[in-house]
Amino acid sequence: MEEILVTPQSATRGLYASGSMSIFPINENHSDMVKFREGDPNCQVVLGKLREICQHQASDASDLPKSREPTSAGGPGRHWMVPFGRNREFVGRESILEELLERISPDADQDDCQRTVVEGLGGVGKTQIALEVAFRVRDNLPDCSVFWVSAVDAISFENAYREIGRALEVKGIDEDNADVKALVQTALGRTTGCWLLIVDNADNAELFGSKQLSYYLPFNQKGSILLTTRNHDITLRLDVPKRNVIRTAEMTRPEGLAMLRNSLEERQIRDAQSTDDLLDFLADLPLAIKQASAYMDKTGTTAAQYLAYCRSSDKNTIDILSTEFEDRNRYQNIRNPVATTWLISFEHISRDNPLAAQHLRFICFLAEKSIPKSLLAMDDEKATDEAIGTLMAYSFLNEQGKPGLFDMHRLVRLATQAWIAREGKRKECATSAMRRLVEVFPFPEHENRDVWTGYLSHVEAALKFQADCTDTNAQWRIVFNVAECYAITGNNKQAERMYRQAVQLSDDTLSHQTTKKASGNFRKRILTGKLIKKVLGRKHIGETLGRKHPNTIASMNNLAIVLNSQGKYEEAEQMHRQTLALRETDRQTCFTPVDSRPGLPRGMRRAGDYLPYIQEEYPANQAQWHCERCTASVGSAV
Amino acid sequence: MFPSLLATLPDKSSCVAISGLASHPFGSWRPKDNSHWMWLRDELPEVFPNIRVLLYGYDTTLIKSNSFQTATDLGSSLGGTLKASGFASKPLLFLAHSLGGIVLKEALDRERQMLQHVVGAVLFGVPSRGMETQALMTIVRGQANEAIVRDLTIGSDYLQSLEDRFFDVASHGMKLFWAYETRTSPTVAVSRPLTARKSADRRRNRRMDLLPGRAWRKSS
Repeated sequence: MEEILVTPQSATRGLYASGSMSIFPINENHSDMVKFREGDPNCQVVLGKLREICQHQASDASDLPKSREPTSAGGPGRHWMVPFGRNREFVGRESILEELLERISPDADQDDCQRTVVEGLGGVGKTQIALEVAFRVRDNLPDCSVFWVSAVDAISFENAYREIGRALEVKGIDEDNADVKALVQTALGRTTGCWLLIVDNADNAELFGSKQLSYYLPFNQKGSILLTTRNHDITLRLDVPKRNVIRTAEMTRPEGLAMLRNSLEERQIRDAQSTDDLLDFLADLPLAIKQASAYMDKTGTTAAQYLAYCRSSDKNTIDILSTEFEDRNRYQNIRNPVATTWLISFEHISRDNPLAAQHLRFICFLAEKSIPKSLLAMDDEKATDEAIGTLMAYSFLNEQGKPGLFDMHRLVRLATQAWIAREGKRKECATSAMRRLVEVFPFPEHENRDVWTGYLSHVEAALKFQADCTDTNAQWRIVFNVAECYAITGNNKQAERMYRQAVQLSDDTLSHQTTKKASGNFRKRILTGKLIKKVLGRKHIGETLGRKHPNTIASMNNLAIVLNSQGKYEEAEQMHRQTLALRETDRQTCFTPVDSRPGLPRGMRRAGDYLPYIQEEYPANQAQWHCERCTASVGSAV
Repeated sequence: MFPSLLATLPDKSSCVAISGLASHPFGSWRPKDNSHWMWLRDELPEVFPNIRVLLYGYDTTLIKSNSFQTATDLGSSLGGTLKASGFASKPLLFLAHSLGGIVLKEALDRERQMLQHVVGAVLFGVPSRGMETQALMTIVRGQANEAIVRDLTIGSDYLQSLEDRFFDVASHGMKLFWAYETRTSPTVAVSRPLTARKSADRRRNRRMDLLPGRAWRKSS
């Protein structure tokens, strides 16, 4: 008996007959397919593939792109960069989807890079619609790349653009001062393949003002941009023709029912009248239905019971919880359904899983999208996982496509914040959130870039609550590190703003005269701030402490590091030389080698010049550490 | 022999060839016509002088086997060997046939820090979604190695989980090619083509670099 041992589908991981360029046949049986004879044409084919692999390597010489998926089904060079899995519970919305698919197909208007907008209130399901459309485009248009960009804040936008740039192998995208947004805009404008760019949550008018993020939306006749927004002003500003604006409203009753049915047992919604009343109460709002059904699913509650909870929930609390929802007017006559379902679930969680409630109180200070699990305090990882599981079960958190990254709906976040304020725990929670961030947010360097770029949007979000933070020390540390991040990314205005703030904060702390050690630490830091201020605003070095004070020297060293990270190597080197010379003359007050460590080797043109100083200065093991780094950087400089 | 050999070689790319189930590391790439020509040794280095080809050998004999190794075990040995031998820190290419591809996928998943050096791979008839194992099962039934054959069966949980893990691995920027067979193989008379051939080519003086798995080193 004879058969094909490994089917083409199995051997190509399902790419067979997909037109993919990464598969090829060998006309032999299973065992002979690698036994090439001399002059065998199959052998030439395989060697050709190896050649392609080698060329592929040559094209991205230094940094290998990280997020490309060369194996995803579809034509060659097609990119699929959507950070979510398909929502298997998506129901209804067919007419909107059809209309959208027709409008957003890059071929729909061959002479333009058309823009389409999905507009609607918070919680109405805009993101889910965009997500479903993305998957349908993937299925229907095998050659169309799909990119997803979250525009919740400027940092998320830039991070998403950077990922795209890496996937497109844009040159220089990972350089410290790269203008990531412009690079990617140009790249997408030049690319020959067709693409769909989805910009989710384009809500913020400040970000989408005339010369802001919207300026960086690419233009390509083979491209198409889909935006979701709850802000009609954005639609107007982006110049989207009326027929390309698709308004989403709450679901129809059958769709709402289908959604309930999706996650519940028949028993729970058998009572048609109560179910109908419940959907009335929830105003057919998908987010509210989602949260309600998550609760009912978890607790086994029936529609009638849940409706009773809704009706008995404290009216005032609901009002308070929904104060921040700007679409609140919409639900003037009824209690805001999202706030109500949130309250019911939250009360349940705080009773049964206090740890989950505690995490929620922390998470609501972070940005809404791409929340890394590593930010959460994990005294006991298993318990934390359980708590996250609970929050996901109640639909407060959604896991993204990549494990360990979570999203929280804006309204859930606002409701939680309002709840904390009502509990009178705003200060306490904001402070402990800030302290946690101090623990995890590293001093930014090129080497840990992936870590801090991932955390930055969350830290920025938390800093919006810094008025509530009572721990100035923690606050100062975060502000300072964020300032450093901006300095590294070449975002000088922001950096200056943060540095100024850091100076402000450390002055306050000093006036409180904490311990001697802390004050020493802080004086140094103030000076760093002031020195950097000097870089940006021209103020004199070391005026408070005198040039030979160790803190002054340390600060000069820090300044050198900043200069270095700005690419001003010569000034940095001069500053380093001065520091070293000062230390030469006054060894008694020498600070620890740690202070000069990060600054010395990186980017220094003549780092080797420091070797004698360093070797003299430090004991053997540290000197060795330095020398290794220095030697390496000397090597790369030459 | 290996450490000294490694020390003398400059930084160049390595191409590791991993053979399939019940195969010989050398013999499985050699044509059956008894010529002494072998493309990994005689053709590939001519075309790519910068690439050094290494054969990876491991024990997957089918008949009378007492090996309990699963694909996971084989994969972690491969990963460990690559790491320990220093190849994992230089550009790496792979050629993998049949089960060898499963072992490779497993190794890449286990040694994630190696991924940045992996440039790409050509995978020949790798049963990512399983293969026809009925005939093989009759050979291995009751033996220690029954599990590994069972893992390769169409629709096995193991392959599904490996595929899920590999999706992430493949997104690290490596270039992958998947070759599929278009001729049928005999499935009843399996004993001859699928058992290990011991006749390594000893007549030729040109030597290939070997990257030994534990079992194979002795037999060559």
